[in-house]
Amino acid sequence: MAPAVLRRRTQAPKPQLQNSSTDYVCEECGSGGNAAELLLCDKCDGGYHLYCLRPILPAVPKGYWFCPECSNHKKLKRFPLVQTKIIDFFRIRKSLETVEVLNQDIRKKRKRSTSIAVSKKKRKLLAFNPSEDPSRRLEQMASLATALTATGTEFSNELTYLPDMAPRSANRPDLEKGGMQVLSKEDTETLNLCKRMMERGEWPPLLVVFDHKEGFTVQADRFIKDLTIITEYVGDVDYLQNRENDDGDSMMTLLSSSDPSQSLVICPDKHSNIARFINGINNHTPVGKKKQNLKCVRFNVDGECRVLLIANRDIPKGERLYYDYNGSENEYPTEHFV
Amino acid sequence: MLELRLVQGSLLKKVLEAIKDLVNDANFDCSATGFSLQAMDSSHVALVALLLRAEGFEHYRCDRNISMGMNLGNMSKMLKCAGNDDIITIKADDGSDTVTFMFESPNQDKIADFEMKLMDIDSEHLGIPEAEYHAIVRMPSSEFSRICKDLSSIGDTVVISVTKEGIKFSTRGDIGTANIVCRQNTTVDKPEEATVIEMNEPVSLTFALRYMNSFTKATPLSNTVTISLSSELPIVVEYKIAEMGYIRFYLAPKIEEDEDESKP
Repeated sequence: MAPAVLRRRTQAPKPQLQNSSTDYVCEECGSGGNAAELLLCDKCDGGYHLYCLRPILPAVPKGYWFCPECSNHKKLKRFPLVQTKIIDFFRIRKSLETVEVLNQDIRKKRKRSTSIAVSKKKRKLLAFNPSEDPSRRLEQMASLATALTATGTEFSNELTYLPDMAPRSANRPDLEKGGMQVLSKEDTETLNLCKRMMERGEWPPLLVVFDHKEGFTVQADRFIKDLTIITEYVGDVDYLQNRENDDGDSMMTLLSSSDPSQSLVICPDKHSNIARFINGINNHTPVGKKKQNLKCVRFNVDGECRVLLIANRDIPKGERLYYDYNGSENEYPTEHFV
Repeated sequence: MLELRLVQGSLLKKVLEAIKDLVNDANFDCSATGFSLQAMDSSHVALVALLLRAEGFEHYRCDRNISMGMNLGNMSKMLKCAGNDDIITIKADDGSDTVTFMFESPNQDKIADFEMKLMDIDSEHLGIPEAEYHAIVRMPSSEFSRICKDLSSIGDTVVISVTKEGIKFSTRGDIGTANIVCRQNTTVDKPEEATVIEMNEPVSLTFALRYMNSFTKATPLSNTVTISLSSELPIVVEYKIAEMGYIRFYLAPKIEEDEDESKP
């Protein structure tokens, strides 16, 4: 079977004015430009730019690829149904007549709470604050369940070491090129607190939403303070070399060793938690960097490498979470990210 | 200076009973046209709009448009002290931060007055556009109330569909499913017992039953309820208040969308 290779229009443009019928154009935008990013469906031969697809694809898939029509996209069934709000339908109206408020009391009913500025000098990590309302927590869990079901992933909140992948003993921070920072005792306590909270059902206040352009994405369901541990990036731990030809778009570097055969990656395609749905910033635009509100940091925790996602500024409720996929290596193609 | 005198005081009592569990604090707006209120519940899923027209009051004086912020629970406590036959007068002076409710017994041998502190409530009014609904159903309010109560013992959401067969209410839960169909029925002894269905297009929407059950608290206000449905809009449940106005409840539907809905 011929592997699905992107058929480029690499023939040097002959000065032919008539368009031959074998030129491929994108079904969405109609243009044949950017041939290097014009993906062809392995079933119907329809052309689609990576960035015209919804959700946007970051890179040309290595295996077979079928366009949305041929892959019979099933409508995502949410679990449970989404309750809309009145303000989704009716807009706020500016009152036509001036309304005089009878009560002259100027004290507002709600006290304004002063936000406590966390000094950047204190590097202490904070544990997340779960939502207080149990029905909100249920909604958050349901949104993650929807996303995991849709991607065919099983939930796991720890790094998993499967028999045909890397063993736990391969996870040695001392192999890291340049050394790996050690998580302080205090911060380790905080991380363990977060894990215990999750076991009790107190999850970080995050909601997974499906965006038309970005695909699955995560937003804060509650105010999150700077330096809060959002979650750990978990998945199956494997050797980088085993995954060279892997199509997965969520692989995360776990250990970067001077000897490439010892480098490890985290693959969240089979087992994962919410971390794999958090999107990356567009490294190629100036405004992309501003979106970043999380940082992805690798730590040596009790002699093992772990990857944590930590807030790097105060995040208001409702804001989408983004971090820099290309922390150091600049290997992840993000030109078409929003 | 505000002074509104309502002979059928029981109407105001019933209105408060209908809304106090849905909304905690709200602004009552008085203008030359009437006494009204528009407020969302705390989850912003339901909206209540009340109008009592000036013509319905025996005496209506409202010098300037004013907005009075009240805690509905407290207002309801005060109104409970009025007899069902009492005449209720609402009074407020300019610049004052209180409102007074006066209850007079019909033969005027007992007069009570209750004064309540007003609140400062920040609220914005929502513009509710006049819309052509896909389906409008008028049915006895007691029947609608019974249906909502019965279905809530089975499930917590109701799917309301209007087709040419009639209006169907369905739910499902752990113990099973339930469907109730009401057909058009105009051959009845009294007009208020009729079920009239006006359907422009079939429509089917899903709603949370607990809000429906809050709305049916307004059943004492009217024999009939008018339900208006449209596929892209919240449902409207309206109870007319005899010769005075209406109380309308809007409820946002539950949907299965996977796209962000965005109204331009």
